[in-house]
Formats: sequence, C-alpha cells, structure tokens
Amino acid sequence: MSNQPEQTFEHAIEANKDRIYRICRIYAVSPIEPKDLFQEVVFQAWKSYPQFACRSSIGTWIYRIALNVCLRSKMRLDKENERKVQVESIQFLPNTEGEDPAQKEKYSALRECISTLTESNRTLIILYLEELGYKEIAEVMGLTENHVAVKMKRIRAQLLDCITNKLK
Amino acid sequence: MLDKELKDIWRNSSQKEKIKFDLSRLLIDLNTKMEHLEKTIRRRDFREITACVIGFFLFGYFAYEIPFPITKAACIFAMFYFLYVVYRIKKAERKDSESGLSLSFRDQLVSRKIHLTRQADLLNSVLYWYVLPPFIMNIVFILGLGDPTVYHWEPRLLHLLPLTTPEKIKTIIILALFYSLIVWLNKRAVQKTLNPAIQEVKRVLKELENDLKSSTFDV
Repeated sequence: MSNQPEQTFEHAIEANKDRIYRICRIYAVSPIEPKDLFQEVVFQAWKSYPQFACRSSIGTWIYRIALNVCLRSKMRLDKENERKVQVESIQFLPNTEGEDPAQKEKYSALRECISTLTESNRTLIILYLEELGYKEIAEVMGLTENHVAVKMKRIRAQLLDCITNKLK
Repeated sequence: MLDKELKDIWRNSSQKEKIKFDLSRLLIDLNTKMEHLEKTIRRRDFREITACVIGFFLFGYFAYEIPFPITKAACIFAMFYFLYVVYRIKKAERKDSESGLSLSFRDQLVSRKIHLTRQADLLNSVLYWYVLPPFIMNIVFILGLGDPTVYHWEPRLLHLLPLTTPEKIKTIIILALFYSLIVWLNKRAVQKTLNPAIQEVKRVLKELENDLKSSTFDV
C-alpha cells in the first residue's frame, strides 16, 4: 500500500499530465518525441521529489521540473537525456476522435509563433497559456512579479500579432 | 484573436494523445529505472577503482621486486597516485548528485553554467592532474632502470623492461604520444560538447538578463 508522499506524487502527476504533455510537445526536438520527453519529466520529477520542500505548490514545482528537463533536452545539456527513459506503466494512446484539422492548423500556427520567441520569452508564454498567475510564473522563472507583468504584456502582443497574421 | 482563443488552442493541444498511468506499477517502474541508473554509475566507479587497486598492487610488486632505488621510488609514488585516484572517485561519489531541476528556470541555468564550466576546467586541466603525475613517474621509472647484473637480478620479465638508452627513449616517446592523445581527446570533448553547451546557457541567461534590464527600463 502506498504511503502519503507517494500518493501525493502520483496524484500530482495524474493531475498535471496534460500540462506536462503540452510543454513536452513544444520542446521535443527530433529524434526525441514528446512522449520520450514526458517519460523523462516524470522520471526526473520522481528523482527530485525528495527535494520538494513544499515552499511552492506541487503543481508549480512540476512546472519547474518539466521546463528544466525540456530545456536541458533541447539544449542537449545532459548526456543522460540522450538516453531514452522507457517507463512501461505510462501509456500513450492515440486519440480515437482524431485531431480536428482546423484545430491542428491553429496549433501549428501557435507553435510556429512560439518558436520565433526567445528561449526565456517562450517559457514565459507557455506558463501564461497554462493560466498560471504572474506570482506563480515569477516563482517558476526566478524573476520578480513586476518583471513578469511588464514582459508579458509585450510578449502577448507579439504572439497575438504573429498568430493573427498566420491565420488570416 | 483573443487571449481566450489562444489559451483554448493551447489547451486542446494535449488531446493528440491520451496518457494513461498504471498507478499500481508507476512507482515500481520509476524506482527500478532509478536503481538501474545508480547501478550503472556504481559499476563504472567499481571498474575504475578495480583498475586502481590492480595498479596499486602491481607497482607494489615492482617496488618489492625491482632493485634500482630510483625506479623503486617511482613505484612507491605510483602507488600513492593510485590511492589518490581512488580518493577522488570516492569523493565524487559522496558529492550530492542533486540535479538542480527543482530550482527556478533562472537559477537552474546559473547552476548548469557553473557545473558545465567546472567540468570544462577539469577536462582542460587533465594535463596537470591526470597526465603529468603518471607520466613523470613513468619517466623516473624508466630512467631509474640500471644494469640488472650489478644487482644480480634476473626476473622472468626482464626482457620487457627498457634497459638500453635507445629502448628507454623509444618507450618515453610512445608514452608521450599516448598521454598527448589523452590530453587531446579531453580538449576535443570540451571543444565539441562542453563549450557549445556553456555558450548556449550563457546565451539564454543573457537573454533573460537583457529582458530584465529592458523591463526595468520600461517600468
């Protein structure tokens, strides 16, 4: 039977799986697939879990881990990341309904627009799209709330401008 | 386009695949992976320590067997060197392997930069801490070899030892080439892998710092 911290971890991963996957989808660079990155995030989160100090919410902590793992993978900062972690108890099933073509087009446009941003702006906008408050974004990024607020205004305008042009 | 629409596009992007966890096995799987990773590291350390232990006893035997005082001294220094390498491996084992992934985006980059710079410095300086000590010991060992007949010394492997001056020079040149190769391989690893990674981290940090400055200016 699982004890309390283990259950907390399981629940946190279950509750945040879609968020982690969305981040992985943005950062996965061939030959690494979003699902490889997802498994790596879950593995690294479990590895780092003893260091989780409850100073922030577990959701915010998972964002930190996900972004840090994804960034390291993208920048090839870890040799270990080149090795794929396969966790058999995590399954990825293709959505039977299939992806709506209009939605797919919009997502491609959004992805392209996000990729034009600088690395730090990209991370900020991802957290914003995840509907994190400025305080939480500041915590994840290691910036002040004020800086996040000022920057976000500019990045949002840039992103909206880009996507509007793409979807014209 | 509105913010809300943007967020909807983003939120729907996770519908591509459905993720299912077998929660009864998830932690068991994760722990198995972690143990596997730890075992790989332990096996690597064990191999390196075993090589040092073999080296230690081999040179201990040489120190006991070889009669030439300078060569004997070189063997004893070599034994101390092997102990030093074991100490370094054990020290590295004890160091907390905390990955820094729980840190904020910015702190994690700073910590990564420090870690990668340290690694690059370590590899760039292999000449001084990894290559020169054994190379000097090898030279002393070789130059210390004298005439075995003076000591009435006739071991079975005598023919393997470089006893004449041309043999000694040839052996030293081969060793110099071998150690140069080690230095070159390490320098190449720094150039090819570590330096680009450090530059990349610096670039993102600079972006973040410039953003901070411009945001402050905007405020």
